[in-house]
Amino acid sequence: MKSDKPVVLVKDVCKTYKLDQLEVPVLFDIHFSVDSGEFISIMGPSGCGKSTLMNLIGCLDRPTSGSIRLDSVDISKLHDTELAKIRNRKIGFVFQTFNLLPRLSSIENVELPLIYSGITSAERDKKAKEALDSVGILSRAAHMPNQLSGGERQRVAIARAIVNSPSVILADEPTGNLDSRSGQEVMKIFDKLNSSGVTIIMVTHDTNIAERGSRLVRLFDGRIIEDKKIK
Amino acid sequence: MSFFDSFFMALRSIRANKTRAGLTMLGVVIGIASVIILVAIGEAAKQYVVAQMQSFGMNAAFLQVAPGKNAGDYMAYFDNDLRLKHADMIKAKCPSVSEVMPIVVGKAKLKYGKKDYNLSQCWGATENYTTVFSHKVVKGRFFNRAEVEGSRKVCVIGQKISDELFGSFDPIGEKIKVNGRKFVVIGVFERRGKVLMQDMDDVMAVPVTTGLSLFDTKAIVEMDILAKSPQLLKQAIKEIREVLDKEIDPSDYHIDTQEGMMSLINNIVGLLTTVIGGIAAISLLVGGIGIMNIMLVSVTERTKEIGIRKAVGARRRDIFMQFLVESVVISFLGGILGIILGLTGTFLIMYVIKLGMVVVLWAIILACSVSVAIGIISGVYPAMRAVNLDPIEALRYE
Repeated sequence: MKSDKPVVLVKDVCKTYKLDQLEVPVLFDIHFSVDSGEFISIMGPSGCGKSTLMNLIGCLDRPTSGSIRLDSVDISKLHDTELAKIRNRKIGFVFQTFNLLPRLSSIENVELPLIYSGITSAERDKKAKEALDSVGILSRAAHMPNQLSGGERQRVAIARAIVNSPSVILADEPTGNLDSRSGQEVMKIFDKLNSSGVTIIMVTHDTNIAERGSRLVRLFDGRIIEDKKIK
Repeated sequence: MSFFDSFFMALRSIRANKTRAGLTMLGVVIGIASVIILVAIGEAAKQYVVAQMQSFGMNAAFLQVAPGKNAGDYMAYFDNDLRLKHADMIKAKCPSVSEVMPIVVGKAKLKYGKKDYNLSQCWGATENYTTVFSHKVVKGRFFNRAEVEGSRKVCVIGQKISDELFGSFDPIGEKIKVNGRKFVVIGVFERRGKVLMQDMDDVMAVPVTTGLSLFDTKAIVEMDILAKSPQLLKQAIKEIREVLDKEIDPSDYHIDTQEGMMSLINNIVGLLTTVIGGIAAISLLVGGIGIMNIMLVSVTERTKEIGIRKAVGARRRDIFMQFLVESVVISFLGGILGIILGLTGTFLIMYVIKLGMVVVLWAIILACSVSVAIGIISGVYPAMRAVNLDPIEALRYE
């Protein structure tokens, strides 16, 4: 499933936050690209800018300078509505704290991105069931999040991330709130997704988890200090 | 996201917080219900008054010449320049007039044997009384033209008087004393009950000529007149004015029509509607502020949810619609409950005051529109707050 053009191209990106008068630089001249089908682990200490980088790639924020291309589209200059559309169609988020809506059942949580895509409810139901099935949790479709274990919740969250067949999955410490067994299960799902061609960018603290990827990027004080292939 | 998705999302969110949504709606419910009840009562009052006037014979061909500059100039009733001869002049010179009935009114003490009766209204009238007032005689007969011209001491009494003085005896032909003078009872009116606050069973009619001497006056209290047809009403008024203006000062009398009396009632009902409508408007305003307040709380509570929705692709418009629709649904449900409560209240009130149920369609449509408008107005600001949340901050919110 490898193609010539990178899925994500981060080019000379700087990000500076303004707190009142004070300017706080977070990222300096970040430059890297992600090819289709890669599984990239991003590591680094707290405050090194990992989350900021994920937010920029995830179209939740805009870079101060430089550009980010997603499927060859420069997202750094897009309007809010267009960014929302890209988040909806091209990006799937997996969070450390799962971020499921507590009042919606598993399947309704998975359907959420499809609602914003304007897909009919019959089609939504079908796609959501497929996604739940692919992470092995279809039997829990009608359960509410508080009736599920941490590992199950994260699997529902992964189903939500993949339901719209995005170009890239952004996972921010996906195993951070899980015990090691649930963490392993979640990583197995990522492996499976990746081997079926899904591009994954994952932030983690855990070296063992990071080494499950095909490439490792290390950040330190807002700069990339290492970028190597593992497999 | 489609409107239906927003709508069902709003219903779910309201269901999750039933008590809160219910209390939030209360302001709108009370406001709308009071508008519905109020408008219905006003409408029923108007219908009631029209029906009463018509049962009094005051149809569209009816008009009344009364002393004084305006209606309600009661002092003029007992001392004025209207005379019996003016009634004859109108009858003779106004071709558009079919009936003229001059009236005098006074109190009277009745005596039959040892029984006394204090009569509140003794009416001196002419032989056309039963035509003009549609008040029928069920026993005996009404007095005739000759008895009016001859100033005869005859009387027709209401059922209540008949019951009190004669019980089950036939009063026809009996002699009673009216303020010390002997009268012969020649007829009894049909039972009518109260019409326009006047107990029609507690009246007695005597020839107007007799009445004038009985009350020792020359002043006529009013002339009740029928035009030949409703179309001739205006013409009749013109003719009457031509006759009367030559005889008495135009500012010493006025002419009322059914339309004129209705406009007075409309004014009173309209004033009441404005006052209570204002109170209802304040209730709706407070209700709207309540909704806005709860929506603001709701936006803060759901900051994280908004962040998640934005992350999975909700546009600004989607978030805006979600909160706006929720606000409108709360307000509209309040409006519907208000309409139900208002109609129930109207029904109960009408039952208690013994009037027919009135449903005013325009008030219901207005209530629906107003409640939707309140929802929109109070939803916009909270929805804008939700839209403008930074997704990164919102996702971090705990």
